Amino acid sequence: MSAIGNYRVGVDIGGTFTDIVLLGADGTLHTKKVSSSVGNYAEAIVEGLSELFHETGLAGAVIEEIRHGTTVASNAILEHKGARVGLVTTKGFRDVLEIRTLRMPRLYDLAWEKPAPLVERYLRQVVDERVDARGRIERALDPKDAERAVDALLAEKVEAIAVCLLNSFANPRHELMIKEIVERKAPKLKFSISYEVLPEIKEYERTSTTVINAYVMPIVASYLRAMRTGLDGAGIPARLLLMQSNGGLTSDTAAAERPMNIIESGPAGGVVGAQALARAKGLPTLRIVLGHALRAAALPLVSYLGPALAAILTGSLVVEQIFGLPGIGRYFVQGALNRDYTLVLGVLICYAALIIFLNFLADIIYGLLDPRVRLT
Amino acid sequence: MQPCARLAVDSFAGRGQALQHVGMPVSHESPKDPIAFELFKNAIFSIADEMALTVFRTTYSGVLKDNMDYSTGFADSDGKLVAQGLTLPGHLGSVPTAMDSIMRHYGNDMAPGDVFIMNDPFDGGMHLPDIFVFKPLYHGDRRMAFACTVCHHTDVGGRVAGSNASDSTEIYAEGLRIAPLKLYEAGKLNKTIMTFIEKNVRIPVKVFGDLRAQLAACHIAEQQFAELVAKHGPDETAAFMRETVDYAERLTRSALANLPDGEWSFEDWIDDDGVDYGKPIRLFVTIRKTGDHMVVDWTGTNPQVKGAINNTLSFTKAASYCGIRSVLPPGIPNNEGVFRAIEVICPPGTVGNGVLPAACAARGLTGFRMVDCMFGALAMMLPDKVKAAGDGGNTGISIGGYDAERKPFIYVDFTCGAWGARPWSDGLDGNSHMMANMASHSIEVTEAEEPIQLLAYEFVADKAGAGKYRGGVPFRRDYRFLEEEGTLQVRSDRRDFRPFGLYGGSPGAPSENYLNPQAENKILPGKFTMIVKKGDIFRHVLAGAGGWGDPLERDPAAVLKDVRNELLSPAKALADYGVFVDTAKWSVDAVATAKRREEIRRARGWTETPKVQRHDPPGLASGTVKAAE
Repeated sequence: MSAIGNYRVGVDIGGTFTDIVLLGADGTLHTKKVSSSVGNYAEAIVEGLSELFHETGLAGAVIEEIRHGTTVASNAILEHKGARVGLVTTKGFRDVLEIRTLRMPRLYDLAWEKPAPLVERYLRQVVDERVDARGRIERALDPKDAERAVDALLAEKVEAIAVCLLNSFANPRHELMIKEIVERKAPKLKFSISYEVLPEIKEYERTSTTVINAYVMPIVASYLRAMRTGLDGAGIPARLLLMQSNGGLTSDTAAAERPMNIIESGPAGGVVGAQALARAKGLPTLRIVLGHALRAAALPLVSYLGPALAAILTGSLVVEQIFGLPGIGRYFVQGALNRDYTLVLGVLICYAALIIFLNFLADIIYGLLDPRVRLT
Repeated sequence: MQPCARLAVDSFAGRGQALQHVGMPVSHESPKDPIAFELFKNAIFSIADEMALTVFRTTYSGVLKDNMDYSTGFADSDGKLVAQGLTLPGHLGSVPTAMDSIMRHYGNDMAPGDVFIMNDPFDGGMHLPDIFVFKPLYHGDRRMAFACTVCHHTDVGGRVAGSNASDSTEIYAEGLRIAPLKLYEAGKLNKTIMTFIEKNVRIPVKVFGDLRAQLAACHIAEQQFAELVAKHGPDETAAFMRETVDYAERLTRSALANLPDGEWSFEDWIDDDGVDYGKPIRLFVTIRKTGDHMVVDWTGTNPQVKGAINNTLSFTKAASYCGIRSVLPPGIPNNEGVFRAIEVICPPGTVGNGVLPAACAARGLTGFRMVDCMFGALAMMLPDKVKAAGDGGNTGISIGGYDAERKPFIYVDFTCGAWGARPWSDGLDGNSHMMANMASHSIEVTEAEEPIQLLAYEFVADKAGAGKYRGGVPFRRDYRFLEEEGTLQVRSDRRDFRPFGLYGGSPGAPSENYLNPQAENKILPGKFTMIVKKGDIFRHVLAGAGGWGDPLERDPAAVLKDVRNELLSPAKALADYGVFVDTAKWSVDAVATAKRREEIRRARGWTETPKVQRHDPPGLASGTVKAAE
């Protein structure tokens, strides 16, 4: 009936219902609402799709891709039903994950309870190592010590291992050593290394992210695997894409590696949906793209382009030399070679003025672009 | 409707002098439109919060950025607090006192574009590092409100870097005293004041950066307030601001009316002031409650001391409010209305109300402990609503000096984290004291910016007070000093007087300070200032928090969990709780536990459960731990 690969499927799973939308390249739309299959959510998707195919007379092969937003990761965190995770961290800092930042979100609340840490203290192992703030190794990690820590966690039958050492963003060597040990000792075990997940300063935030990634890894991986199997079984070879917290899409294999990126897929989908809604309500696409999306996206570009433009205008000596173009860079070098100090001085003043002017221009453009900046 | 009706009857009596002395007519009129009022109330608190965020985003120093030791607020045209964007409960009560001082000095001698600055504890301030910046906000020529900010600055001069030393003995050693002055006069900066500040502080870059953050917050407030006035008109805005205060008063009074009437007292001690070592300082509070009015009376508190832990009255008020607010329902706005219903008394010349020349830089300690003392008194009043003593409030650690190029550095850290146990659950492990909801510095950021390395930041086992619900587990922090030479100044407490337990709960373990724990392990006092050299390690262990309820009633599964998590040793589980933990199978021997608990119960011989425990109960002393091992 139709050519291969011109249908796209959107699937959103909630606790009660699973919604499926089948969208043809020509704009034909089919929807289906089925009860969610708690336990193996993929079942409902496959079942719903089969029903849709039955109703429309289409075959699985017409589907180009399946786009999917899921709460499986956020639910696991909220309900504390994620994996049994073991954490390896630096000696002396076993409780960074639990101490958090000390601050509580409410004042005067005697009944405040801290959220329970995702890794209990007895599953947090320390290794005797130390990297300083500049990434220099002060105390080398003894591989035996690392093996002991990993063995202890494996003996506790952990389902995933998270590794976050102090200052590892500056030098990941010790973390990678532990990674290699985990891979060797438990080749099938899921693991999450802070340097690979979030190589940024601030130990609590990095540890927390690394642990969350490990915490939802097994659940998300098996969820995606079950889904793929189900789709294959139903004769749907289409690729599976997942909604990310940043509003973009990622492949199912990438999502299984970095499930932390799909935790907020629901709210992110909402933003994308709002765009679609604005379009449907008659706001021209150009306006959405130029007025809302690109305008926000242009901010970092402008802050980079200001100084960069100055650098291009003043520093393009080589290009000018090779192509024999008359330019200010070449002018400057010739002036220097001829010891024409007045010229050099003049060009330098021009350079400085240009840089100041372009930075200023960037600031002005910033004010125009960013709705948060108000001029008074 | 009942609370409102009662309010109409006794509001003159209850509102006290605060209103009468400024001669403001007391209005009983509710605004016509409750929805518009609700929107206005949220708007004005949002402005206060946005001011707080502005400081957070623009500050230069770690103590503001990471510890968040600052507050922002909004006062009406007479300087009465309408909204406080609270980041720190310890600052509630500070703005009214400071505003009073401004009004006393300047009254109507102000104009659009003026900005006031001050920090003098004896003229409306708290302690010298807390610099207040106020800006009157105008609509045309009519003064409508004040934007208020108070920030703890990295340094305001004085004899010790950080201006926090607990062992100064008079205010003159503590730094630059700024009386209420106009930093800007009709929009023109007073360079003389700026120069005086610049020449008297160690790190003017940070101090000026933070002052600018305060000015920016005032500026934001001015802009947004102008929008609010444009929307509502000046008269309605003023009426709404008045109503915001009245609303808070009504809520506070109706909540107070639900508490039992009567009088309750509690006492506690601070180890010493860091100057007269070993001389305890008594804190004594009496709470008197009748109807919808409460009096917090600190008469009986120790006379002011030589060391720098004397409170100003404003800080004593903040501590009193903090205690009471914790047992009142949430959602009461922080403003003048609360203060009208709660009267705080503290005689001048005591540690709770120091007079010239009292040193007060480290007065935070006294404030924290007054909150704990309030909790003690409130626990007598409401046995099932209040927690036992926590670690005693934050320990202040300042490390300062000069690097090889004579560039100064100052590292200021405030840390606390063990909550007392509550009648329904264990004390929190690693959570700030109620009085100062401060965040901790990131270790990695500290190491990247300061000549300090942290070697440990972790829980310490066997320190929490036992109880049906145990106290919070304290942590230790080990600091290694990396510059050639520097000054280390520490303010800690709860060494001699341990955090008390309530209704059968045991007290927590005392705090500890050590120099070079890996080598000589020299024991340091609770409060001191000393020179440190490169490589020296300072270790601070917080005090453990007090427990609540009889430890023998603690669920053995909870004891097992603590043993499993290495927060409690098996020996101490047996000694304090009578619980036999099998560490091979991670299970509890129920029969042996029941037998052991009966033995302890008999040996202890309680005829009634002690309400407050400051020492280990007999039979639970550490000696028994050794016997069990």
